[in-house]
Amino acid sequence: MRELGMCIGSFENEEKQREITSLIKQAGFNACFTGYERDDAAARMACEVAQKTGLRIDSIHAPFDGINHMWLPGEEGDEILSRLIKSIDVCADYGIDQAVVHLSSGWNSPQVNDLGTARYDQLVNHAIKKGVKVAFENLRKLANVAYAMERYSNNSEVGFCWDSGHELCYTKQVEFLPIFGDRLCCVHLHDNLGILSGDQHMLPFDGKRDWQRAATLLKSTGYQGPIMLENGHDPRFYSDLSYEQFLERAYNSAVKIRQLMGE
Amino acid sequence: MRKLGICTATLKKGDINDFFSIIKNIGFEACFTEAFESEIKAAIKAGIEIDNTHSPFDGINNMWVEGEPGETMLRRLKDSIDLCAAYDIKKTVIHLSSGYHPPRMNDLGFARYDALVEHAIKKGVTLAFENQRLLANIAYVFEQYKDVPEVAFCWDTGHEICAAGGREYMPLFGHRLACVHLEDNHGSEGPHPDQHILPFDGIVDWKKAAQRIKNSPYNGPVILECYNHPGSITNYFGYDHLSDEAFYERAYDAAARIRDLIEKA
Repeated sequence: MRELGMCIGSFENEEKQREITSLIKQAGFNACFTGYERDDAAARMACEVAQKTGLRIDSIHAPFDGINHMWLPGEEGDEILSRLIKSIDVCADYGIDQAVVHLSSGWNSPQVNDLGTARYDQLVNHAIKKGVKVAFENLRKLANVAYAMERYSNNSEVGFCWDSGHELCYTKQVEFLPIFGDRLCCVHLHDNLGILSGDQHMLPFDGKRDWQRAATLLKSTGYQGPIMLENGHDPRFYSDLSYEQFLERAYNSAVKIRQLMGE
Repeated sequence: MRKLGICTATLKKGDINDFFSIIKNIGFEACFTEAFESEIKAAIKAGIEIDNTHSPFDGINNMWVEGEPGETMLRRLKDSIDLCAAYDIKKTVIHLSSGYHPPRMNDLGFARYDALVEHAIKKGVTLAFENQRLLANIAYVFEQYKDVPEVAFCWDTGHEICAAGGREYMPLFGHRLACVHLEDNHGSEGPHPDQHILPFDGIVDWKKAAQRIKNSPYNGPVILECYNHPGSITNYFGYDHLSDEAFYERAYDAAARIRDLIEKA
């Protein structure tokens, strides 16, 4: 049966990392993705904890703070590239198939250019060498994702990560799955109220997304991976729920999506 | 009521004045021309409205390549804009690339298209970028020039079904629609999929297409971009056996059917 997954943040304290990871496992999830938002050591610790807990790590979310510098001259661009490469190395070291990578941040991000293309080429080449797939995620722009899919159209190591929430609050007129579904290798499922830029990361069915359509489109792509949620215990929406209750609700929403997919 | 139109490229040989005379007699009121002054003058003489011109696209990939051919291409495109301005034609259709593996988007090409857009703004001419095989370059255009009203979309119904892998462009760019190239084909199979045959002779879902147009801000003519070139792929559909008049009558009926579908949508 298709796996159900939940994202796990990266904590400074290993004990906290273990506690959160265990609760996710106890809620019924059997897959996860972890992040690379802190540093290399923290990312590796999160991976070790997840694997010891018995959760399969479907992907690592590569760092994305400062991602716009990938397209700009200067050291900051080289630095973010170096961090992205390190996150690929973490995937390789822990047997994780794929890393989710952003292409830009914000509405006024730099457009595609020669410098950024060269840096992303370097990243993709490194991923190929390491046997790790790069999954580019939809955010506010269509052109850069389309560019990545076209530029690396012959690279099976490059795929698409569909973020259901980003689509709803950033690019309502664009349905990414009919466009890039044949490259789909990863999903970030979450909900929001469909307000422009309101990337609320609510649990599925708590916002405005049409999950029946999402499930139908997902199914139509042939995607075999987990129903992967990208939610946090956000007090704006879930202050009345304990973390355990929140996870139970999250798990139930993932089950419901799987059911909507006819499984 | 929307006017019905057909492109001058329909005519492979013969006299352009005869072409306009025949299509006018049949009932067409609009057209788009190639960027040739002779065609523009003939259309004006015949009293056929020129909705837009089709800017040159042979060598368009050079826009992304260093060297004189790229500069020449840019100059030809600017000349095409100047021609529109000289005859008060409001729009011209522009390509971004040719083939499945054109040069990748790059800084040089962006700079040239920037220069082109700047020139169009100065001349008061709208550039309608047409969908072809790729998505990134046209998506780029609508992001880069999102606040430029002189940058718009030309929807080619035939390109969409034979060369875009199932992608639908109207949901993405329909809100910027300024021109249409309505034509049909049988999908992506075969050596010449971009058949440019008459609507309803191929597999385009015209009811859906009409709904898309109705939902857009476009209220211009229903313009066909179909060919009647003896000996070409269109021969397969029996067009070769039709007289010019009979072909254009059939084209007119197809355009009228689309207009009805739009009105009823």
